[in-house]
Amino acid sequence: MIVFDSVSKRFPNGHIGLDNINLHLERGEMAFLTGHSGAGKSTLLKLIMLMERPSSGHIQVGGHRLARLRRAQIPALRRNIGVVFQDHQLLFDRSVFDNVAIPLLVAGFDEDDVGKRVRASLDMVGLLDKEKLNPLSLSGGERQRVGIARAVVNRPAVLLADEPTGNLDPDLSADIMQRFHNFHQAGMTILIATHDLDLVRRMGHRVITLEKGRLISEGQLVSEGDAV
Amino acid sequence: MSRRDDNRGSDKPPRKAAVTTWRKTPPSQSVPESKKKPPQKKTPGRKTASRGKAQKGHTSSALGHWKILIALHRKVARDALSRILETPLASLVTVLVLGVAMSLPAALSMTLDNLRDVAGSSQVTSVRVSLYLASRITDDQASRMREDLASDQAIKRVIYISPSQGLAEFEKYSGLGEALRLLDNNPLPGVLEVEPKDSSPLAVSNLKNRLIRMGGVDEVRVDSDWLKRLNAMLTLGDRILTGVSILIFLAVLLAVGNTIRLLVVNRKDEIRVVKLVGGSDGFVILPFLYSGFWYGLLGGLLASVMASALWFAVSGPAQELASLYQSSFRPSFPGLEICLTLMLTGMVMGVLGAFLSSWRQLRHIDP
Repeated sequence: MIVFDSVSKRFPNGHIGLDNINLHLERGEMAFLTGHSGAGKSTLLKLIMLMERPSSGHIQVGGHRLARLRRAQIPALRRNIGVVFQDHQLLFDRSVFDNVAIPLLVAGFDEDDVGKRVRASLDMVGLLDKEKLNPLSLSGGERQRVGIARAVVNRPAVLLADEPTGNLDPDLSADIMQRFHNFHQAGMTILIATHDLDLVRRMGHRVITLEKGRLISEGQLVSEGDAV
Repeated sequence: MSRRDDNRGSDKPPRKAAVTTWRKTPPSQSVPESKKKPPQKKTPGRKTASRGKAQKGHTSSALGHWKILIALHRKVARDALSRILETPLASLVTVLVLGVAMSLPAALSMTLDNLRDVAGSSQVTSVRVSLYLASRITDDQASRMREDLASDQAIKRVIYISPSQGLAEFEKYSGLGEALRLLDNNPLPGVLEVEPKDSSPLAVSNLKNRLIRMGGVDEVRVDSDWLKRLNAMLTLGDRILTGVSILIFLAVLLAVGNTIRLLVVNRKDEIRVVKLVGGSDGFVILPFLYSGFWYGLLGGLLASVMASALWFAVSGPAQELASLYQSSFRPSFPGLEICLTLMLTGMVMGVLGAFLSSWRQLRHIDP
């Protein structure tokens, strides 16, 4: 589903974001992306959804070579990728409901369908009773969950999450991770960037560890030693 | 692990279809949903719902697509209008600018239309050839001449104004009757007013040459100079109208463009997010086009109102002026045509201005 073929990303200021990454994520696979902050986790996710372009190498997502996508094809790619952003990227000029509905409106769902799907999605993150509120009046954790609801509302083929549990208490984090796991079982390809290693270990999925832009280890985390 | 593999195996066909075709329509993605376990109680309901949708999508997908598109346009149009109404003061300024700008060419065009009416009405402006008769011609002779002329192919109508009639008319309109009465006898000649059938300059001058050779005619005068001047002025006016209209169009484009540009800047976050979740350039620009549309429409409406107000202010004095020229001319009301033109032009200019100002800008907001 997601293939990185010797991908490097060098920023204009000379900083090397990613260095010769080779990565293969199967369709329906769930994986964690860990590493210290600045290790390139966010950059890697951004490359997948074309928020950034690689300096060299090829990326394939869903069988499409991203370098070959025309500008007009990018929206179609993004509609197939749900993203949970680290900074939520919510809009404060509208209600929670309307925030979650954006991907559906963009993809052209009809109105009844939008209502149903948005409520289902909000119910999943436990915010059904807050649909009419403005995200401004929500706590950080709640905003995070709105972001998650928005990411999965149109059942994307790929789900990327950048620190989805960063602002959540442990119980809620575990709960959200369980939701992700359920999506995974439903066939979604999921890549989660996080540094909550405890949680990662408990989930028992493949872990990709980055350090200074290099991929240093792949595989399941078994003991504390593998984490770093 | 084995359970996961099972799931993957059984999910593969629908998922493949959904993903490798890089789905474009919503219903195709609803299949993996049925595999989802929690929240349990929600699942059955949604499953059936999405199946229903999928089927509907199959039977009338084109129609459904259009329905959704129309619904989207309606929603976007409504949102754009309510956004304008949310900031009444700022919007009013823009609408006023547009209205004032567009009422200028409208007023000019109204003026020209009315002047053209004046120029076209036979009562005031048809070409007349006046034959001033020699003083020795008696009324009887003059009447015979009139009949001769009336049977002429090139002449539409002949009116004989005898010296005494002429005097009476002169007294009535000039107020110099007292002075004339001091004279021993009526100094005015008899006049035959000839209205040619063909009022083109060439025909009239031919006729004039013919008439001047008639016996008993002192002088022939063609009263068409002022008409020529009026026509020349109208032509000039048309040119000015064209020029002013072009300038006003540019002004409207710039005014709408500037307003929309600010709108884009204010809604940068929203644009970013919409693009991040897969909004196409067209989807992103649509609200701004509708904003331009509404601004243009409201501006056109205001311009129509202003043109009408102008008519009310001017029509009274214009009628008075016309009556001084013995004309029953009445300026015509700015009709539906001009109002529709204003609104239509406003809409088109609004959308165009919005497009021109936001397209590049929106493309540059790249998440």
